[in-house]
Amino acid sequence: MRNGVLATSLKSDPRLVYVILLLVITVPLLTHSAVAVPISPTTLALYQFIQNLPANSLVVESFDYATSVVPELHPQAIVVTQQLFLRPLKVLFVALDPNGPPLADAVLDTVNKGNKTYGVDYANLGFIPNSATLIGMPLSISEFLPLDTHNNPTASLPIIKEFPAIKLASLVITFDDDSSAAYSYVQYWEGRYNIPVAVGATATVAPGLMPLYSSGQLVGLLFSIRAAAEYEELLSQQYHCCLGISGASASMVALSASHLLIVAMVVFANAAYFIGRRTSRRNK
Amino acid sequence: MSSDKKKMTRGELGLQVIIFGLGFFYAIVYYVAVPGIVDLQAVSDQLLAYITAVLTAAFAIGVINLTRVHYFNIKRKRATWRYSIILLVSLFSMLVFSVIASPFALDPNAAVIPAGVIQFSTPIWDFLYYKVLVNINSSIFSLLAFFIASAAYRAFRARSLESTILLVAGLLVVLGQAPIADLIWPGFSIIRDWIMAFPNTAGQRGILIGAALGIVVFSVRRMIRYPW
Amino acid sequence: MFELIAGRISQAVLLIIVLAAIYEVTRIAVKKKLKTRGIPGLERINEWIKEAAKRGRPVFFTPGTGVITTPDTLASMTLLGYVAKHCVEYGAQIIVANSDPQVQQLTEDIVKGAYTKAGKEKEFTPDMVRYVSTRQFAYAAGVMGILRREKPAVNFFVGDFQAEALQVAEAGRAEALYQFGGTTNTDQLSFFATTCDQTLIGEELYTAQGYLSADPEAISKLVGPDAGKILAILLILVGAVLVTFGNSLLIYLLGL
Repeated sequence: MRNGVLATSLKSDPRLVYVILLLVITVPLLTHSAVAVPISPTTLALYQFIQNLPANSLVVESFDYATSVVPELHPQAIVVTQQLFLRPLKVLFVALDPNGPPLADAVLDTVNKGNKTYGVDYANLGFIPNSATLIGMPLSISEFLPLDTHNNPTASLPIIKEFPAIKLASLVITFDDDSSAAYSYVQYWEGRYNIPVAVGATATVAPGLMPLYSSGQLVGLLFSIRAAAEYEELLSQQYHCCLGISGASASMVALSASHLLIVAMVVFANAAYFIGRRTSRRNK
Repeated sequence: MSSDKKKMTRGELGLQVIIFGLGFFYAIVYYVAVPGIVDLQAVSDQLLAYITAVLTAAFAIGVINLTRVHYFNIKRKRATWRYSIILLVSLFSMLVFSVIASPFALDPNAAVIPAGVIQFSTPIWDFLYYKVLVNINSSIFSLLAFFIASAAYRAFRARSLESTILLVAGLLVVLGQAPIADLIWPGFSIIRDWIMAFPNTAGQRGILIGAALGIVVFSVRRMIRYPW
Repeated sequence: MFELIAGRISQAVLLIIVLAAIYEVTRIAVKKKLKTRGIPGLERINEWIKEAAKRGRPVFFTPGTGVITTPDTLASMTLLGYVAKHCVEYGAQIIVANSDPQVQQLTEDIVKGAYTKAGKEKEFTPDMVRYVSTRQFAYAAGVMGILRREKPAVNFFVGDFQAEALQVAEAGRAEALYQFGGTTNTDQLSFFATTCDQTLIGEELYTAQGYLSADPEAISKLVGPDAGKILAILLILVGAVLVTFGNSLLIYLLGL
């Protein structure tokens, strides 16, 4: 009977569910709890791919997410960018979303750039405005993106002199909130020029990109903020740094607790459902 | 909605010819090249740029529509007129500051707008974007967590064999995603990876293929005005 | 002079074969008056709109956050035409919320056209078709606000939806009598399935117009695309068997 009352209350007034969930998420965050995070194969694949890139390879990072998914994708962008800066690689930042350039700047303000110099080791080329630019960049960057976000002519940047075309890139990583950018890069850059592509995606979008990863069209796939925590763990193991750099690890207990709560609620609801069904059958 | 078998007017015929022509051209450009004579891809991209430029004008119409609706809300003092004031103030202030001081500013080199105005506006834009917009957007997105919890509680019931399979698979994937669950039993993440790599991929591909075929048929029928 | 682009030749050949198969099967289906399975819920739209009119509550329609070139958005316009026509017929108020201003022009034209065709152009007001916001969650917040304030009896969420799908559907569920969802976005379909009374899954969105026509010939024509699916299944089976035995001929052919 008590089960029935609680089950009915939860079903008829979802605010009770919201309050329980709110408590389950905020308490671990406020108490700074931590938990070790097992590494997923798709995250490890990207990490190892970057670790195995030859020195002075070009990597392109594309910021294709809106401000709403900053809590989920920004940590991924921070940890991946940090790994790129810890290795002797060159990095170009672009964006297919107009929100991308300021978010790229925000990531650059967060990571430790070491002795990397703007214009030589990395540059922010800004927003790619249309598909013509996307299609043309593998052949010539400065022709299609003449200025960077600091209004410098891209042709004058040492990194662009060294890598005048995207087809010379060894990897493209897109942080994508709706899979459109992922498909664009796979279609135009991976499909035509065999540039390896990896995606950092939200938890709702990443499962839909698994077919691309399974078929080998993606070399890595990051699932939500959990992948950022996994990445922090990997960086910590290799470089003895960067744990907590993106804030992802600190949220893993809250994430776990909320998942376990949902499982518990579903099991509870089904138990109440079966008990209720059995009771009504008995009463008949 | 019955099949439309009326004779087309001249205007409709002209429009249909344009629809067919453009649709066929874009389809052909994907498969065929004419090297040395014309760069079909560049032509199609240029056409798309023109179309985009024309369609972009609709953004101005959208802003006018929004302004008109909320202006009349305020004028007629409808129930939510105070929120309409907040909306209009937010809309136009963000518009003004973005034009002056955002990464997409119209005059970043202070050729027309005084440098002092740009300097004054930049921290305001930074605040509005990074401290207000990002956080408000993230807050609305985070409502999803609560909605997912209540939807899962309400919808996941083992009423039939199919719903039981869905329930069990869903719970296993959710458990696999929780790092703590892996500490309880490492098998959860292995099961999650298997479900994501095989049944999930298979289902996604099936829906993708069906949707792709639907899009192809829908598009071709629009191009040739095929009656339903 | 003309040359086929490498890597796309097999795609072009497959497209021609699939279109030919669909055409031929459609022809045979119409000749033999074949029928496909019905799409649950489409036939109930009429009675839902009638009930909304009886209760004096509006009907809400939103085509999602897709732009005008998105196939899902275009497909949702055909359903909007049907819904608008029957709202005018039964005297139910219709409210349409748009995320894209270009789509808003189209939806306004469709709704206004429905009123004009019924000779009731004076009953149409611009407030019926609203532009909310192009930003995803500003749109979600705006739609949630409309649903809470206007309390529509029937909600239609049909088109291109991203993460805002569950938010608008949950908000609508609290107030509406009936909800109808439809999208091809596999990430959001499960959310619609849990919150809507009826859902158009994937390609059902593109075939809805045929079903709604209630024309037996139109319904027979819907059998055609299944030919493409059968071809896809055959290719998958043959490919799986070949690859299992170490033969990559099909992979080579499809990569041409």
